[in-house]
Amino acid sequence: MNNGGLRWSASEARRSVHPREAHSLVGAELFVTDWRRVDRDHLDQFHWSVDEVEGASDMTANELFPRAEDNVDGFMLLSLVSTGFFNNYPVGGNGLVAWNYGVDSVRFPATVYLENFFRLRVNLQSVEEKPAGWLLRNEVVLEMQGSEKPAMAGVFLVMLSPVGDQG
Amino acid sequence: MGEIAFGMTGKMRPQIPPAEAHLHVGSVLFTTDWLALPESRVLKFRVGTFANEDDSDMEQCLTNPVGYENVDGFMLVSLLLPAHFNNNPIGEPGSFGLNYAMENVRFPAPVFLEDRVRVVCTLTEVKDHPKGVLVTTHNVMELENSERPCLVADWTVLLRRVDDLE
Repeated sequence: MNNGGLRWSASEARRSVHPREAHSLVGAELFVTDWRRVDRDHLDQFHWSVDEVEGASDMTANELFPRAEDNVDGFMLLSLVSTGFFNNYPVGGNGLVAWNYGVDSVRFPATVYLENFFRLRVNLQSVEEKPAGWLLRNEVVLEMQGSEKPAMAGVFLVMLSPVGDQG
Repeated sequence: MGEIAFGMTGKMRPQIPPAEAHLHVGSVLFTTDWLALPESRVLKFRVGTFANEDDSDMEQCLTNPVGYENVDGFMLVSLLLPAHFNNNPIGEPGSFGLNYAMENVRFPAPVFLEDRVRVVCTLTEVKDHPKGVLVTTHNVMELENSERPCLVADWTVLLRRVDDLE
């Protein structure tokens, strides 16, 4: 499921470990995707969705950014983490709902342009049982092909709750 | 194009040069108008970020009984871009911002299609950097008719001058 490098690859192991058994995975690498990139059509859709376009927003300062038209926004890269997890995150299962709980310590060390390939590497830092379910802290690194610096690094918090227990 | 994000009524021009930004630490820099989040806008975001059934395994997401109507938290984060483009007064001609870092991002209240949100932005820190000035803001995205906000985030932007680029 790579579609010429425009989608995250998918793991057969996704949602195969119930969160109550995920403690054994703490400290382990959960998944690494294949390399992929972003194309112009999807970048445009992202820009339109958040009015990051001339006429809807004041793009004066943004136009000074080197190769602004070809730059893949940091927040688009961050948003792609969601689908990386949909396709690969091994923790989950039937009857569980995953919530985006938050992110910490996000950095964007390298600038990404449309021609750059990147992949997502995820390590599990901790699992904490909460009244609403299980809170999992994941180190996420978006590696960029040919670059020593990653495109993005941060900690992604996922809450897994039983269906109907979201409060 | 539909409703424009955060009520830009004309091009806002920077009013606070980066060198003077430290004088405004602790101040509210701006509060946006309310912005509705219709299905058309949310679907563009999902297509753009591959968060749909054609491109990703959405089974777990759609297990959520309100999964389709729920607005992705990262879309809320991304809406900080137009909020700042159109309203942040810090800057000067020839300067531009690099997305440098985010801390303490949380989504206290869920947002659903057609809900309305606005951003209240407070300047929390200004630091010199070898390549410019680091400006950190605390951003609260309020959700209409909700005591809890839908997003809180500390966002740091590196302001650089275009004539300093190598």
